[in-house]
Amino acid sequence: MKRPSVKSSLIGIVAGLFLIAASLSWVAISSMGEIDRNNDAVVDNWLPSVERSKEMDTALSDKRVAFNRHVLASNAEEEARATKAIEDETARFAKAFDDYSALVTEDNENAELKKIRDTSEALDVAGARMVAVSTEGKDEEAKLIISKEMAPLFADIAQSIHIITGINKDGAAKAGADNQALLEHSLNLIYILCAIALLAGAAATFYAITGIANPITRITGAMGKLAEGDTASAIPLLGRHDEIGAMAAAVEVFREAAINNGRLEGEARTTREHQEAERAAVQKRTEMEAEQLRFASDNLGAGLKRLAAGDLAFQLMDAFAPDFEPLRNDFNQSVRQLGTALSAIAESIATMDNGTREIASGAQDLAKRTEQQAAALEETAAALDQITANVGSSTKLTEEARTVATHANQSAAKSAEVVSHAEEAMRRIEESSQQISNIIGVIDEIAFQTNLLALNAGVEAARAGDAGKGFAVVAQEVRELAQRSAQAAKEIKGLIRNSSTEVESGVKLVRDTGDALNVISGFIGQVNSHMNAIAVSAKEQSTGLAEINTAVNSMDQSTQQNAAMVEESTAAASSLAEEAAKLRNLVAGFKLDGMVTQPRAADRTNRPVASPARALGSKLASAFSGRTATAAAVKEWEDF
Amino acid sequence: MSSLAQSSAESGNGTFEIIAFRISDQDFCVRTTTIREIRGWSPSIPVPHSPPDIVGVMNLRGSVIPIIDLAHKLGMKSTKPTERSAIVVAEVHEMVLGLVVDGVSDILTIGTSQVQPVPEITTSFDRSVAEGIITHDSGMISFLSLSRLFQPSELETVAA
Repeated sequence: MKRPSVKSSLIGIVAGLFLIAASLSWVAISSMGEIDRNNDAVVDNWLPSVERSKEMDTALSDKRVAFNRHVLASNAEEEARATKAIEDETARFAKAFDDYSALVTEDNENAELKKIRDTSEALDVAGARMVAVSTEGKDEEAKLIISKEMAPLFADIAQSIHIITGINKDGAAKAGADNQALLEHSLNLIYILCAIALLAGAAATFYAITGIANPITRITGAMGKLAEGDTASAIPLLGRHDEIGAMAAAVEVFREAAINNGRLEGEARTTREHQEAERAAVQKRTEMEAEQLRFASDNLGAGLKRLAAGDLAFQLMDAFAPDFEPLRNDFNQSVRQLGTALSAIAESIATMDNGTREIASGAQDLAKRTEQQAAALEETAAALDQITANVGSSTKLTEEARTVATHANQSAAKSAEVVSHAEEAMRRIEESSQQISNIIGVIDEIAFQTNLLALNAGVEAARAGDAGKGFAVVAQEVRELAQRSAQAAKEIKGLIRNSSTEVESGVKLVRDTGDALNVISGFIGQVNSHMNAIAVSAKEQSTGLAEINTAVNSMDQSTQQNAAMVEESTAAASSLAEEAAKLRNLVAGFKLDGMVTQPRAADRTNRPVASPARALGSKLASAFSGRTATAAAVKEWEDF
Repeated sequence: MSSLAQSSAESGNGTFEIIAFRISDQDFCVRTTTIREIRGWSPSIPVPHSPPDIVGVMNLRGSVIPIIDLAHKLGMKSTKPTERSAIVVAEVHEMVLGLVVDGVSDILTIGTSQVQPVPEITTSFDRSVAEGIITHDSGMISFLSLSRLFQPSELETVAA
């Protein structure tokens, strides 16, 4: 079960005590109220009722006395006084009765009161009669009335009043007893509540001491110990779910932080000690290394001095400290490589000697070939002259051929015109033939109709018998004529058809001729365009020849420049030889390991050769004499 | 009148006239006296539900006459009429009708002796329609008898 927090438990305790106090107060107040009410009833009801009943009793007795006095009265004055006394007592009784009626609380009281009122009325009636009798002076009769009639009535009333008084006395006694019981009950209740209150207060005090004050004291003690540096002892009351638990958890955090701090301080101390030891070791090592460095630098200095003196045939043999051993090895390696390189340079110098010699002989060959090229150029120039002349004549011939082709083209165009005229004429002939054919058709039709008419005439003649014989002959003649004309028309139609066929073939032939002429015309056009192309290409050839001339001139210049180049090469070869000799002397200054080379003396090939290029000058000048380009070339040639 | 002329032509060694015409390159002829007229070809109006040898009817100066395809009537292949075709208007059994022929050749005067009977062996040709064969310098001509070719009952059908 979860423990309630201190706040809620305190609130609960106070609220419980308050509830107990409130119920105690309520019980006391309500009991007091009840007792007060009962007292009021005794004072306001029961005691006045007894008093009034006594008053009624007294009044009744006085009334009885007054009646008796009335009877006993000896004169009128006494009688009047007695009557008045009767009236007064009657009024007094009535008043007492009314007062009592106001205080009636119970049914039997009411019944008695009613009885009293009825009896009283009867008494009043009897009294009045008795008064009347008495007034008349019949005292005996009045006495009789009093003793016989009124006395029982008085007795009844007195008894009723006695009963009422008893009731009221009992009521008062009963109220007193009630009050006593109520008071006792209230007192018992108050005693019980006081006991409960005492118990609750004791329980609350116990809880406050054990549940709140003691834990706080324990935590305070733990906090004091923690402040003194005791981190080993555990914090009490950890894991409680109220404020005290939270407080313990916070103190636990403090304790853990203190533990951590202690650990960190220990670690820092250890680290500091380590650093001290290391620093001492490093200092020692540094001193040793300085010693080694001095030894290595001395040795290296000696080596470098020998190297400056040109001695490459040595090695540093003393071992250095392990750290500087690579330096010694590198030095030895460098000296060795330098020696090897210088040996290689000496060998290269020997090779360069040979190369220089080869260059000199190559320059001689080049000079010879340049001479041959100049001769070839001369021949080329002569050939070019010939070609130029040929191209000129062919251009002229092409021009003539073009003229002829143009004439041919014109003639072909004229022929085409003639052909088209012929075609036109043929078509006209064809049209005429068609017309003739139509006319022949009409003639044929007429012949047919005539024949029919003649036949009909013949029929008519035959039907006429002998009378129509002559007519039949005529009809026969007409028919024959018609047949002949039909025959002739048929023949003409055949002829016309033949001539039409002929004309058609003629038209076709003429059209073919026209086509052939067109083809010829096209060919002539092609020939013409070819001629044009030939003329154009002849012109291009002329241009090309001029360009070839220019090219030959530039070749001439190149040849001259080549000759100059040959001369320069020769000079360069000789200076190269000299440089090689210088290099050899320089290398000889080094003392090399296992290599004894003596510098060679410059030999014949190192001298500049005689320039063969100069011999070419005159030849080329003569080859291109008379040309401006060559003249310029000759001028340039002088510069060499 | 025709029967009178026919009888006079047949009796004795007299002569009579025929009209020769062509159908499909074959020559036929009839007596001139049976012919009333010869007309050039003109289209005729077809008659519905007519027999196959009836081409149609035509208007001959106000009177309607039937036109008969003679080639079909003779059991030959009928030819398509051209503008050179002719219609021979004949009178048979007092009824006028037109015969379509390919062309009218001639009017000839023939001697009776020239008419020869149809050979009996030519069974393919209905002998009853031919009176005989006329020999001629241009060839042979079938001499048709229209009155036998067209039976009167048949003509009534046509007329109807």
